[in-house]
Amino acid sequence: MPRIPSITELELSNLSPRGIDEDFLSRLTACADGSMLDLAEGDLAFEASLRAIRPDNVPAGLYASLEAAISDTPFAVDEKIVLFHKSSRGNTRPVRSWSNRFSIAAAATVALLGSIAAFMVPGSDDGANETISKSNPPVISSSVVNSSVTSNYQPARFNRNLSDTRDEGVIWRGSNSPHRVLRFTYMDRVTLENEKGETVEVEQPKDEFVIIPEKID
Amino acid sequence: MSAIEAPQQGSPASTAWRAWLKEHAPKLFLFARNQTRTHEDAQDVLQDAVVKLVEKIRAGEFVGGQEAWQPYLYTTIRRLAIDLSRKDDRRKRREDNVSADIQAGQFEAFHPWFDSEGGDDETRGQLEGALKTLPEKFSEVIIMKTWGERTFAEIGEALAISQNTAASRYRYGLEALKRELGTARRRGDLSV
Repeated sequence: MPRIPSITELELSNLSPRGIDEDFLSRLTACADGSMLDLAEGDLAFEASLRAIRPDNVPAGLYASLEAAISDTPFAVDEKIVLFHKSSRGNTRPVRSWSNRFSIAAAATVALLGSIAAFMVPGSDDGANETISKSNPPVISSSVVNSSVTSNYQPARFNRNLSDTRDEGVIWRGSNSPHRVLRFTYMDRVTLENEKGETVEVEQPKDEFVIIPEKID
Repeated sequence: MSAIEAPQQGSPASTAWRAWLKEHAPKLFLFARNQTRTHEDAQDVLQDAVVKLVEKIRAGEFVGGQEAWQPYLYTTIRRLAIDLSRKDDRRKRREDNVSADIQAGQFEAFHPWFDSEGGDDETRGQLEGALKTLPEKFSEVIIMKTWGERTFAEIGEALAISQNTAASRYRYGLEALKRELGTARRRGDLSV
């Protein structure tokens, strides 16, 4: 036997939802047809006129606090260039200018660093382990004062210091196989020297990630 | 002539940071003011957000390059402002200090949101008033998009909403702002 609706249900069914306003309908339509992210010309013009009214400057005291906060923090210009606040360690004196020959020697040193580091990478022969290297831009310091020196620089010494090791935890790769990620932070340093005993040091920070299969029960 | 080793104040990093702060700090501060109740709170959250950013950079924990700084800062400013607001609410319930609120309101009047060089005082004042009148979920999107020049995707990420929702709130907020700023628009200070 069909159910007889109550009086309340009858009253309710006679009501219909209120229509939505045009603006909301436009936004819903834009969502549906994928044009929500595209602004109309009128909105773009209005936005531009708003932008012409600039935010007020930061108070001087706050600006000083922000400058203090960023002291000693490297400034990443892009992926390859990072600016530092102070030069690397060692006997360094202000360099008056770069000579082309010095720049070429530095570039050659970077290439040499890469090849030496690749040769010295530990534990990369095991087929189960994987090593990924990430190098930061090199930092060059020099004891050269007189830029008119034209003698050749040759690599004299190489040094690698392990500065930090860290267990980055476990990752899961393909078909539910866990791998532990270990991070080794090195500072590679190559010293170039010319016949006069003047030296240039090139330092390159480097991170190596070693991925090792993790045993599970 | 160039020097590798320069005094701390004129170092390449210091110079670059200074230029970056000069360009972006006012926009971030505007957002911080929108998110907080007072001028001082805005300064605190902006400073705390910048400190968090540089600590991550120094520790080598920040993911992404310079292009990721602003999105991080907008997100962090918002979170810090929410935390501060919750602490303030608890304190206000304890203190219920009416006169302090009145004083704060008067103080705010002397620290306008917008620079006096861009538009006349009346337009600036109307714009600030209109943004304060708008519900925060619309004004924050407008500020991030218009002055912060964030994309809808970045805004969505910072506010934990979809980019379509961000765009929808932006459109709605712009329409509301147009209505509030009717006088300034009729005068020609703002285009239609």
